[in-house]
Amino acid sequence: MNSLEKVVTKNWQMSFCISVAFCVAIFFDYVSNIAFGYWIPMTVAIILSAVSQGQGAIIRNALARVSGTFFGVTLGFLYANIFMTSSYLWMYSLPFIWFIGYYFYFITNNYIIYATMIALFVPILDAISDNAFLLEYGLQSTYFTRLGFTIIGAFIAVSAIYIIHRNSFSAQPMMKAHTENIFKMQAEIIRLISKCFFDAEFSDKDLLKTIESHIFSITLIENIYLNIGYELDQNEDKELFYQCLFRFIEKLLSCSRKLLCIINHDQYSGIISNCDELKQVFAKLADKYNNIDEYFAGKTDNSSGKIAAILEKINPKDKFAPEYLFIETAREMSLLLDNMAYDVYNKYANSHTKCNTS
Amino acid sequence: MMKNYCSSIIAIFRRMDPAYDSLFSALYLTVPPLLAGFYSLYSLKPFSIDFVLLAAFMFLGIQTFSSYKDKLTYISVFLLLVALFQFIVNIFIAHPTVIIVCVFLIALPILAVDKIRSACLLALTQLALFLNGSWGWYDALNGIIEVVVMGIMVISCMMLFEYSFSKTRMRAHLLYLIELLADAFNIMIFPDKKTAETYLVNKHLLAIPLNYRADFLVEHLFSSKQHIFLHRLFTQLTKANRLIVNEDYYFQKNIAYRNRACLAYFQCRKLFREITFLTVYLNNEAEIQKLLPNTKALMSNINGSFKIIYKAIRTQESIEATLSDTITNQWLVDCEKLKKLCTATLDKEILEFIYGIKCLITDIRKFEEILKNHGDVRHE
Repeated sequence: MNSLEKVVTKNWQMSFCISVAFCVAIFFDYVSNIAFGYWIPMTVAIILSAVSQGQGAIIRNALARVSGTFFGVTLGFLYANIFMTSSYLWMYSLPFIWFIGYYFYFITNNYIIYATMIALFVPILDAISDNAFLLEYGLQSTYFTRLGFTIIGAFIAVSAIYIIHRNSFSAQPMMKAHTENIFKMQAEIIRLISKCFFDAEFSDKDLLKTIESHIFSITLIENIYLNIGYELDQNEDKELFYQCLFRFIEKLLSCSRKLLCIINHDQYSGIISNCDELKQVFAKLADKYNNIDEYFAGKTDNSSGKIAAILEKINPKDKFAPEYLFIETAREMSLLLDNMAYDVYNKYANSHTKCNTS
Repeated sequence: MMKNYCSSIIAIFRRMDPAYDSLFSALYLTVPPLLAGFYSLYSLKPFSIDFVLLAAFMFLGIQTFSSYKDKLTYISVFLLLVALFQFIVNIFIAHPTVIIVCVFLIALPILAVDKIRSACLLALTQLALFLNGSWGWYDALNGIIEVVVMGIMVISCMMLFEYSFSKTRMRAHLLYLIELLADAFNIMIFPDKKTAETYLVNKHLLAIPLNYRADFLVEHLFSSKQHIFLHRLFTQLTKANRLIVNEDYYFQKNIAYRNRACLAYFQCRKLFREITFLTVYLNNEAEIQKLLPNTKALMSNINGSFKIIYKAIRTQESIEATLSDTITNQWLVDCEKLKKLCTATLDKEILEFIYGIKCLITDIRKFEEILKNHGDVRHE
């Protein structure tokens, strides 16, 4: 099965799971025949809306939603008892509370605040929209019914992702695909930078596009990492591997920035080594990053040694030339990969194999 | 006294939300639902909760898109699905099996498409709210009209927000970026936190506990303050890139401002790359000072330059030469002497530092030029 087919199958599996969970929730709403049963499908849909960030995000959202609903119903109960009974004018403070609540939600990205706001507001708005509602049920009592329905909804959502095609929700393959993309883009950046430095062929557009794609993938895996800890098959080995990966990417970014800075200011002047030899060094480095999987699986080479040999040959007087720093940075990048590959192969071999197979 | 309180309050907010992203997101999520609420309250119809939440969900969904085309596609798909679900629920409310089968058959293929999955999930949330509503042909039609009205209202709000706040947002991102650059420079050159803090542009940036803000994703994994700041700069560059370079603007005044802000933004990117070379400074401070005695004076001069650039953009003051020619030229002359004298003993890290500072001098001067020639980046 090729990667496109895999993605399509995974999408259908996810879609099937969400559709089943939502329909089961509607079924529960009808079967229970209790007022405000619609809270169950609503909870399921809101929790599963984190599906693009993986299983961990769904579990995190489910936990946050239950605790957020608890805080929301408590605050709502107090609000309804203290303010709304005294004067209807208090209703006009609702937009302000809504604004403050979401302001802090956006600052902290804490889903509990989001859930609190929904649990606080929907019943109040329900009461405002329907006077008969207040007479028949009373606002306060419905708060606790909703808390119960939230727990049922969260249970349905989590059970669904646990039972139906569990693997399709895992963020591990997503993390792996984007990590691979980061290294492929890194290889492309090295290739473009080398072209620019040695041949003065500079395609600003290509380089910018590649850098943007590189940055996009890094931001994405950082976001996935935040939730991956909540995944069902997460373990300490994998956590250590991800920590190591992010430190490695940070060092790699530093090296890329140095190379970009050099090509912004200087070009190859010909005073160090011969151009073809240096071009080969950079082509080899780009290849190395392009096929990083092989190095993670135990492959080794002597490219770092070769670069070191070139550096040793340089006349001390020429060390002030930008070429020297350019080659030094290439060596740094090559060594970084060697060290990371060694660590992955020896220390995190188990977690990496698990990552690959999943 | 009052002024002190005000500045303390502003400082707290600046520390939590330096580029005002959260403030504007919360505003976008408040105004359309509020308008929808007022429309619903004061129109002839009874107040409808669906109407208010519809606006909130729509604005929550479009936050992730940069182009108008994507935003309008998202809104259209969302409204279409909501209208369809509204119709199904209102007509078949007495036949739950039919609703379940219909929802399953509609949701299954739509949820399988990556691009419209989030719109479908929010539409399903809206469907859940409809289950609490009334039924019949009249309500179905009424609901669909409400959905269309809401769509028009959200699109109008989107345009209004772009017209009113885009320039302020771009400027805030640019200012925060320069603030971070200046502070990253300080962190690279001052050995202890206390000294660094006295020079910081925004003293509160260092005081933030890790993982407190939504944009501090993996900072806790880095051991040194230098790397934390470099990563923070990387994150801010990504955000500013989205708002200044990638975002689609409809109004000419915003497009014109964006074109000017881009120049300053790309210059900031260059400065960021150069600051990376300075991470080695503290390890080799004594050696550098011995070889290039004017380094400290130059550092303090560069530090002052960052502050002048920041102040120029913030307060719209005209900019003069930020770097002292005497100090920089003296330092460059020292470098040339060093080049001739003792390159055999020079460490790679020292060479990196010298190269970084040279590039920094060139690019700060270019920044001055940009602010002089395209000074409008400062004006609102």
